[in-house]
Amino acid sequence: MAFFVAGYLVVWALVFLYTSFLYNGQRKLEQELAFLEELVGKQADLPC
Amino acid sequence: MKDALKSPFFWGFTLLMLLALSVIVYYAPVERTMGLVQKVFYFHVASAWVGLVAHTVVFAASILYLWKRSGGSDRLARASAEIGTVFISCTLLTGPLWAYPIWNTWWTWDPRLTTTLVLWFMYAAYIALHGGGASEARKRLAAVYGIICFINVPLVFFSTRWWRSIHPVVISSEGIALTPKMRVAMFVSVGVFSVLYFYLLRLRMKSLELQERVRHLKAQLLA
Repeated sequence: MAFFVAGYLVVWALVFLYTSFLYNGQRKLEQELAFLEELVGKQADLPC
Repeated sequence: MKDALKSPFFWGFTLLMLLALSVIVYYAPVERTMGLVQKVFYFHVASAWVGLVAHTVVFAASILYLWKRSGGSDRLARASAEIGTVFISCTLLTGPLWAYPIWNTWWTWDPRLTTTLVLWFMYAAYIALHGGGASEARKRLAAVYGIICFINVPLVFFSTRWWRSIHPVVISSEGIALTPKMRVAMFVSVGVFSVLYFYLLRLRMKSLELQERVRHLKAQLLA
């Protein structure tokens, strides 16, 4: 039974690491997106 | 790591996982012939179920993409294929853990085992194909391949009925060959794994959407 509980804990840890990886990636992408949107806005304001 | 710990969905899933674990360990009885090793079944069946559902979602989303050409269905297909392949990997790993003490072998080329392994390779190829680029042609090709891959899903499910197989058949047209307590444990486990699938699917789809928006803005800036 201990092996079974340990297996479940391993799965939980893997899910935790994977979700952390996804959340971190999303936060970086959101920052990059905000920066790029600002650049696009500035580019649109430039006189032709 | 902080973001995951702040997420109520993650803690909700953790509670559900604890519930499933308690039901499997304390509520479900120990099978008379196989003993404790039978409890692997609750994990094995739940991951197989979610894997097959995920690949059915790939099929439906691929059809939708070819029909409507919407980015959302393409992202749904890709995310579902990735998560489904992880669950099928769990099925392929937990199966031998049960098989060795019961069949006295880790692996045998039984129709159910073989079709599941083929399914894993087919969707691994789908992920490689889809991840190779972001062009419309690539997405169309991945959608067509995603539809073709689905042929293997009913083959996996019906393999034990259509061909001579030593794999146990628990759910058949005659009903579910489990005691009432075992059934409860199986349904709880399947439910928790299904929640995990939708949670991961939602997260992965959001990541893919953000990646696409960044790519689109970069292209706009360079134009």
